[in-house]
Amino acid sequence: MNETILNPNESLAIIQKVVNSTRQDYHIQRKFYILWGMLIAAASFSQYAILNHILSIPWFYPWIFFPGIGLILSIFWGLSSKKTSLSYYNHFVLTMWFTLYIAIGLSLFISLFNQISPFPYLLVCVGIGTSISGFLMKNRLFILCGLIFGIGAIYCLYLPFQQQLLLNGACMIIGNVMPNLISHHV
Amino acid sequence: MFNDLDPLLNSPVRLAIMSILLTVKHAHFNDLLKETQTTQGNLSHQLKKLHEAEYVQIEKTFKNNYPLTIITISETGKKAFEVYVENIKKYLHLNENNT
Repeated sequence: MNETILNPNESLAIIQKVVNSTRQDYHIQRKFYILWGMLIAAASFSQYAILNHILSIPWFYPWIFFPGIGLILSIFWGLSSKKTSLSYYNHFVLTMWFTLYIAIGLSLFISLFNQISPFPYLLVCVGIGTSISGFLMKNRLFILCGLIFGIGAIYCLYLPFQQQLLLNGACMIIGNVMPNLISHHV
Repeated sequence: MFNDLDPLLNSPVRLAIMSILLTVKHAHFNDLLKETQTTQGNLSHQLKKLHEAEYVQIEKTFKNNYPLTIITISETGKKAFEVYVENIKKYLHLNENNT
């Protein structure tokens, strides 16, 4: 059986193609980033609206409703994904975000327990995740967005709670939703 | 000219398989089929060759009553791939000097 013998350039082209394919794994995750960024922003803006009597529902409803939608959609998308092989990149990113979600959950609990704002901690956690993702993808935009979250977290400390909600929502849109929407090619 | 290159890896489908396996913890047969864009029969044939050389490990199992083939790269396979890439680099370096 005759087989095509590759020259080094052709070999490199094949390896390069596979590497690019691995990078495309990011595109699969992009919709998750956009979804969660928008939902957390929506929850923040909704709570701001409630606190300013624009909406008349209990203040915690948005934090049940929007993450609930996120959870259902994430599970649905995850189960309906046809790609079953797990790349090292995806494995690392999933583990990282899973750990960060635990950190966010603990931060929320500690913040509620101490009756302090959770948003600086939330922004720090999301910023760490975004920056590490940026370093992995060698994408400066995401590294910069991670820094935006960090600056937002510090700025939060100087703002009253209601404005922290707006800042948190804005950071999610600027640092999470927008870069994922515009980064078609990374 | 390219005699030093591992003949087992120096074929399009097998090189693609090994490149994919290096980037994943494990791959499923159907994913490899999609990524390599080859036929089911050819993929099985190439995987058999890689398995015989102990470059890959193949596990056959079932998921929801459907057969599922999971392929993982072995340490031997990783080393062979590293050597292959080093050899490619050497050839390309020679080419660069020639141009």
